[in-house]
Amino acid sequence: MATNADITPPAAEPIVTPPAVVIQPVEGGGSQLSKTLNGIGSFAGALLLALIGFGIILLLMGKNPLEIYAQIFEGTLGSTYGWSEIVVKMTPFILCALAVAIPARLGLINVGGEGQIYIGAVFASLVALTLGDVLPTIALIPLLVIAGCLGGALWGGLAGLLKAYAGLNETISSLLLTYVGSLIVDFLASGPLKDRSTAALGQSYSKTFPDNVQLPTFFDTRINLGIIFALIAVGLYYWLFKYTRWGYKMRVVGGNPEAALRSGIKINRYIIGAMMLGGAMAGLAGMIEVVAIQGRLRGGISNGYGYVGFLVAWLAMQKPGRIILMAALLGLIAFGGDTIQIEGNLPAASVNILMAFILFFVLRNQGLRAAKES
Amino acid sequence: MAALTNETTTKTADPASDFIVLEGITKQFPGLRANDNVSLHIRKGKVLALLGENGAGKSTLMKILYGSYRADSGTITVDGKIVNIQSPADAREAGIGMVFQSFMLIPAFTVVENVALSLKHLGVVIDKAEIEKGIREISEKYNFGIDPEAYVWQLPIGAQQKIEIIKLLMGGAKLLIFDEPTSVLAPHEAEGLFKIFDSLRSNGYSIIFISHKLNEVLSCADDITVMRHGRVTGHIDRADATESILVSMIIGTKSADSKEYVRKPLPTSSKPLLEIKDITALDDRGRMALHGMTLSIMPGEILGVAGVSGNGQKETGEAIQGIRPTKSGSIIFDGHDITGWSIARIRRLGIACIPEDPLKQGAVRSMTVEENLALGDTDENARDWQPMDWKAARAKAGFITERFNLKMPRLTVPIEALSGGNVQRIVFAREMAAKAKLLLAYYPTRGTDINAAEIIRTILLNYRNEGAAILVVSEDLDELFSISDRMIVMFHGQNVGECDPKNADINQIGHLMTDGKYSEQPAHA
Amino acid sequence: MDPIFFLQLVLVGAVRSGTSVLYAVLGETINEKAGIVNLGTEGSMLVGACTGFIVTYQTGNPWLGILVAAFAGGLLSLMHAYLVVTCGANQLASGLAILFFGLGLTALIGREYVKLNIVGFDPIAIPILSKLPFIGPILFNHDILTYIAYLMGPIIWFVMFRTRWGLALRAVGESRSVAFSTGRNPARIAYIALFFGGMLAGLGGAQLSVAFTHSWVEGMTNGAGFIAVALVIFGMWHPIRAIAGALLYGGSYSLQLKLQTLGFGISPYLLQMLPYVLTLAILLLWGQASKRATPAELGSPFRTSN
Repeated sequence: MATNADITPPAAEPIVTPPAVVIQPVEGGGSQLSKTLNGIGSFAGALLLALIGFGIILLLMGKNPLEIYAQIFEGTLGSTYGWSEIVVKMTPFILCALAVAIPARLGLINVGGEGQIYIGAVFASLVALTLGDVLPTIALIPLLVIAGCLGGALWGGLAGLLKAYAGLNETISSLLLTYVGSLIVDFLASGPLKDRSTAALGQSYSKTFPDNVQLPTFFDTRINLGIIFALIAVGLYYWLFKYTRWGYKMRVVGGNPEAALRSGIKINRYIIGAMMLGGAMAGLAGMIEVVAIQGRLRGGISNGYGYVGFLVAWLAMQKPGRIILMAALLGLIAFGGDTIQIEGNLPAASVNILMAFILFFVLRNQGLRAAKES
Repeated sequence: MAALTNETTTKTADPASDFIVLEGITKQFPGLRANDNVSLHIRKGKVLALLGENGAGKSTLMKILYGSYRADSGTITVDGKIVNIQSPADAREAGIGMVFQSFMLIPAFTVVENVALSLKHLGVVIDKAEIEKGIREISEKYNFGIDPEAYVWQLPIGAQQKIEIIKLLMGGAKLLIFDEPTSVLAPHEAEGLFKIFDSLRSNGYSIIFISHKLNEVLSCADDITVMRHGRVTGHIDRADATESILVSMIIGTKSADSKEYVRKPLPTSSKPLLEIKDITALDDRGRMALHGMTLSIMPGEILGVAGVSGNGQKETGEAIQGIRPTKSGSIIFDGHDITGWSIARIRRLGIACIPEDPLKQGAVRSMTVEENLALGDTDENARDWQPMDWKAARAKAGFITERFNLKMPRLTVPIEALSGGNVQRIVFAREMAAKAKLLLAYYPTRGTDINAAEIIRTILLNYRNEGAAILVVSEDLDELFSISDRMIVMFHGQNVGECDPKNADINQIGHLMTDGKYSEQPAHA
Repeated sequence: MDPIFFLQLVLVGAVRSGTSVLYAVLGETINEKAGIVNLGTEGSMLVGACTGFIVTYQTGNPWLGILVAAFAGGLLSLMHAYLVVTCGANQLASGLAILFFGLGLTALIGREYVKLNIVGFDPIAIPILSKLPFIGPILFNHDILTYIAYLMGPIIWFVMFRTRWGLALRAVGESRSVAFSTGRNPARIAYIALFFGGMLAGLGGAQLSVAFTHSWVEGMTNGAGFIAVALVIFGMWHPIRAIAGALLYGGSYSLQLKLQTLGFGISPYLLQMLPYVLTLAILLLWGQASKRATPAELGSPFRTSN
């Protein structure tokens, strides 16, 4: 800030001496540790209630809940395979939670993670199908990451653009764009990118990606580079909001857009930026899904990741560490569903009840707490 | 001071004409006795003005009368019968209605729908024609000119206030309480409201009019009751009241004459620091708000902008800051044509602003003191991924201590834990710490008590003496007279006149403010 | 093929495939008019489809089936009401929780009923009217639930805009504090709105299983509840325009089916995008007007103090 050379030190004594006052906060509000402990206790309570709730429903269906829980536990945490599958499942959950959390810091609600996954997958697939034969894996990976992020950023940024320049509510536009995004994948997989070989007759998916198109896996499991990307993304998220001017400005926009505008922050730029960055995270998840899991582009790849990510972000209250924990928990439950389908002869989707119960009790506590504070 | 009566001496009122009597009302909040043995007589067909500073207990008393609060002790008598008012519904039942400062209207509904919503007896299928008829009758009787089919969002504030009155009248209210009704109105609208008071009064309605503007009270009230620190300090008949008597009742001591501040002589520069030439700009609703606004500020001077709010003051400031785009004209600051520059760039050049509503426009509730102090720090060389300069932000806290003599214990407290006044001080200090060449100060003392206002004026004066130019926008003419080096008057988006506050004629300024023209007859003719 | 006959076929299909969604759109319109968005509509539809099918299968009485379906849909919606109204939880997150609950619950209780068949509602040709040229088959040869759905639009419109109850409902959606200050109980009104909204969604689901396909499949609504949320916006929160939204959706779906059978090269998916792209376009073109049509309290957290 340039100081005015003409400004001289105060010439006049203050005429009125204001009384000395110490600014005191109106409320003290407990130590950080007790807050954390409270948080953990409240979550554990919600988890317990959810287990009881699901247990009752299982009982009513004539199943022994303890047996089912034992199956879930053994199938997930009881084996290396189980652990690895949790990691595989939690990868998109983390990224899609970030897709929600980043815009949420600006007060924007992105429910379009699902659509952003699809467009990220499309961009990644285009790279895979065109350059997969030409380039080695090591060169392809950065390109795939960029493509996935770009696709997601485009789709998220579109909602941001509509918000910034047309005043269109981002919740609505991102939701609408989700359908368009998933239909674009259906269209491509059944049309321009469709595998025309006889083996794929009547199927709607693209050709299998060339062998070079892959993410390295670890420990002889399906755990792949994706989880590393996801963890890096969480770290980036933490750093961004904790330490950078960008993060600070975004939080100002989220806290009071008018004050942000008046202090010289270019709000629209940050709205679009946050939606793009959020979208990029979901797009990255889409890339990981097609490249590491599916190996081709097909319809319905997302399977609700965008929505689960929304819930993860909400369970975690947008806090980076908790996003990883909550994604792991929901990953465990999701894979637990696969387990009881095989062992317990129950539909895999049944575990959605358990997940819903957890959400139910956590949201209840969150809501009540917020109501008390306001 | 014969006209002054103490609260202990009962008012010689004709009991037959007393419509509502509040007796011995006491309300205790934790750490604050908001109402202390308050009594109030409301006469049938009369306007009672309730005067007092912010925090004097007027609103609490009215909320008790309207049933939003319950008194710890005391009685309310309506038409000679003691009533038990426990909720607004009870109050409405007793014929008591209230027009709040923020209207209880739904913008997306039509007038009819809003009125229907307020009616106690409403059929399952709404009889629109019947309600419309009622609205038209009242609208014609009091000359409101309200179209029942119009949507509320289409109507100006003044008309919305009339809808509130219609609602009360159709709901059978006999006493209408108005909580600072003129604060949202333009002056001609306020006069219209007083005319409505007149016709309501002649139709037998009683009115309580809460205000802290003396001239308004003097122009429309029959009885005046003054409150201070939760007690009634006196009742007075309009006929016996003068401004100076009322002031002494409100603040407890006789008001001092306009204050003389120590002023450093202005630098001898002939070049204006800021020059606005013929700018035009739209307001938030897309109507032309500035019609060729022109003004200039010399370095180091305080330019007072007088005018009724809503005459383009806000838009002028926003145009200077780059917040509001201009349609034509130019803004020259410190040798640069800043028309069309970005907000951040203009701030960097040395323009700071204390906004009209510091809490809403200049602070982030959820952030800490420190983070709020950093707001507006625009370092040209810093990139977005670099960290904030927290040291610089924290240094500004020193300004608060220095200027306001306020100690900031912890800078990591979210400001939502602080009182509104302290948030205002934080914003003040931050904008002044920017060491700008030009400070725009919007209504800097609005909503503060007399002591705090004096402190703020002194701080502004000191700031001026340090060499900064200040543009002060205020509705308080006394304030402008006392602190300005030069004054202009704004009317309908234009600068309609300029004067030297030392020998300004208040009558002329009044004329300029209300119709943009000098009075044809000299004031002292 | 005769173009007029083709058009007729498409429109018949539009009404048929639009009915289930229409119920959900009407239900969600009621919810959102009360200021609450319910992404759990899909869950209520599934619960309706599943319970409607099971009860019809067990009792052989489709009327009992749809009654239970509506009730079940309403009950699920009350979970949302509890979270959002009583606890003040985030509406979108709560709605998604409800959706997953519905998904899981119906997968569990419906698993033994997959691939079974019922005698549900069949199309009823209305005498004389159904013989009208062109429009007869389009409008007057449907199952009873379709007729009810189309009657529902005007009924809801009347209640919403002409009665005391509708006024209260809309007031709560516009300003809870004004509704409260005029002696209304916003929380209770929101509960009632959500219950009715959930009932309609449940009926929509039941129409799918009991009248349209006569079968139950896990997740059979296939996102229709989400689509309904989008179509409420297309209809600008108006029950009559909601019908247009449902027909647009049904129409684009049926058109692509018919085009496919004719062997046209147009991808069905491009046609299916139509409702969403159109909704976006409308929102953009109507800018201000669409903002005014949006209930002011929509999505804002409920606080007991207001």
